[in-house]
Amino acid sequence: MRGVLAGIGTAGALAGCHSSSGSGTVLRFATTNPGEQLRGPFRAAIRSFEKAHPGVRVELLEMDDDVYQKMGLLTLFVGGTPPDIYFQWGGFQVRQYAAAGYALDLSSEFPPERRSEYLATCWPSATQDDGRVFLWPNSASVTVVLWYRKSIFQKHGLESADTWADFLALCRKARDAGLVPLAVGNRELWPGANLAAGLAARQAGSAGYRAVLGLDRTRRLDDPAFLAAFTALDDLRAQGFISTGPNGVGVDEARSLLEQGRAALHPTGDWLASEVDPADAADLDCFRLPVLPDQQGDPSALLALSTGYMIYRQTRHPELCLELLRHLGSAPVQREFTRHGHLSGLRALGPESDASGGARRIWGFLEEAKETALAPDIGFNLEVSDAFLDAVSLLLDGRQSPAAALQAAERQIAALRGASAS
Amino acid sequence: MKGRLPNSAASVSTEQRQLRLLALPALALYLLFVVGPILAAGVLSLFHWDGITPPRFAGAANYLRAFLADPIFARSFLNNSLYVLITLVVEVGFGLLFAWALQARLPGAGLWRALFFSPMVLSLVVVGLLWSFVLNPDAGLLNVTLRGLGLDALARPWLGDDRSALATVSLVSGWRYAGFYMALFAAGLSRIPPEVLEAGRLDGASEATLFRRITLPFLAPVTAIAVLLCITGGFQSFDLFFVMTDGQPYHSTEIPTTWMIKKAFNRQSLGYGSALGVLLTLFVAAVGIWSRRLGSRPE
Repeated sequence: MRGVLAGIGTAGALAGCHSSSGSGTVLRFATTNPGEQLRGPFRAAIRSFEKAHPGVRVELLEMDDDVYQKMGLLTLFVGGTPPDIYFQWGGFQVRQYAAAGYALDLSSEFPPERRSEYLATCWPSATQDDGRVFLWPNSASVTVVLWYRKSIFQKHGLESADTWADFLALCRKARDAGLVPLAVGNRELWPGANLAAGLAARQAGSAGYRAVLGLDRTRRLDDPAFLAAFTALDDLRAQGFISTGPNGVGVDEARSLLEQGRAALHPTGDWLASEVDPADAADLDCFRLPVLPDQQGDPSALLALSTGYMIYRQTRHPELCLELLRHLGSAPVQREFTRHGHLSGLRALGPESDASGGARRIWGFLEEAKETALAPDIGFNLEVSDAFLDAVSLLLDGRQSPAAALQAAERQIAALRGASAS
Repeated sequence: MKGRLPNSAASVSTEQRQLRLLALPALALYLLFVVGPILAAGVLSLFHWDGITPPRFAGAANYLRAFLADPIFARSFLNNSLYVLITLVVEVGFGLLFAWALQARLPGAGLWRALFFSPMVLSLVVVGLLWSFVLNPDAGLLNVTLRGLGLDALARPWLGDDRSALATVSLVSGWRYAGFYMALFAAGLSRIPPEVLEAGRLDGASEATLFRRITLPFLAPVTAIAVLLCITGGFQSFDLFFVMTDGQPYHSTEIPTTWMIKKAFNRQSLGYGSALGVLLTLFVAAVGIWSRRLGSRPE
């Protein structure tokens, strides 16, 4: 039946054949847009692979991140034209594609000594619960830190904050200086949710956080640690430290408040450094979410993940695919990537000395992190993620109290939590 | 005579065969790219399928879910209906008023016409992005201007407040499309015989009376088309909502198309998303037929 549905699903099936033909072997490689800085080196690496493998051509299927995540990759599978290699964000999707039999087991490529070459933060999102590896880590990523412009901080005498009390004082000082203390654009729902999840992971500890969002039957979303994190966020809102009407503001607009020097802080991931102009990147720096009172997580804890590549299990060219990933994951290629703003998962390849301060800072956080957790929309069941995202959205506008928002979210997923236990 | 009829019939039959042959490529493309996907969506709607694991036959479960267990889908239709009602006023209504006002030989009428029409040359995505920045609650042009004029109380999170978000998107839509309807009505107005209006004026009718008694009846066919376009187009909206609010806040600007995309792709419920698509298609078709019947009623 799946074949029939795939057949009617798209006309693309007529054209999309990965093949070994008279003209050689074609490897179809679906990936997100590598970005302006990295596009050149990425394509050069692909070309060097092709050169080393006469008769092999790599067909790149590049898509915008959002399109890729929401429908691009899925459409390739639904349309019956699965790529041989595909980019993936570590976490739930890796597990889902692996469970569906769409992923080649890469465990033999990563014996323990090889795994230790990578940052520890890479593996929770690249492996199954049983330790099998299905994602070839390519880059390490931190999902949420607090970005600021050094020039703005200097101008207004602001300093980064380690503790929650310091953070509140910083926000107050920024507001008194006429700045928006924290620019949050939550139209897409994930930005606010990542901030809330970062606080929840610190408050509950990574294991506790995973248990709550991972549908552990003994936990609930209105868990005391989650409630404390939501209360902290609600406090920021109540004191006017969060930008106005965040649910109607897009992430790019919020970012522009930081870029224009109207906002003191903007919570988002490491990708900010590579999205701004190089001149602006030099002015950017960041700090981790502050330590909350009574937090159970380690102060170094991060919301982080690895992104990388998976191989379609039924590819006709598994060995070639593996060779391509070995090539892309090799130290020389990864080193070249890091020269263009890439955060490699390889421990030995930190940012070059001429990299922006922000990139070096992020790398430092990754090296120091004793525990990590995944963002709700990356690491967990999509319905759990939806419930969490909705709760944060209601909280950010003050529509619901922390307890009410979390209780409503728990009601939304109660059936799932029950099912996970049965 | 007897011999001519069969010849004529044979000629007609040959001609028809040729016409059918000529239509075949277009028909094949239509079947492949229009009818095919509709049928595919119909079949998909009968399955539970995340696109990854094997599909499971669901029967009518997806349709029952849409009607009985998805309040946001019902709400999205309500939101869309409100949007259509507002746009009927701000797009069709203002389009008609602009066309009527500019039909009078005002100084610079051509310039005004071009200005009103100019938003039509922008893509909806650009319009959405542009207005998102204008409406930004902290740094947007609108709120900054209001605050600059001492009207702080009026400054608000236009798109971030569920009480104003839908109306705001509708007004932006009106800004984009009013010029289009103005052009449509301007074409209709140009076809009104001037002597009819002149006769009315000679009889002492005011401009308002002329508008009500002569202009509007003459414009009835154009108005019917405009309303049909506005309603059917309104229920197929997507771009502007997707860019400006994506259904936020709290689904207050959720419309069936944005909800369908979220369910089908973001949440990987391809069967359910297809069922929503089928329901939306049937609804738009029904509205279209109803509007056409309404428009073709004899005077």
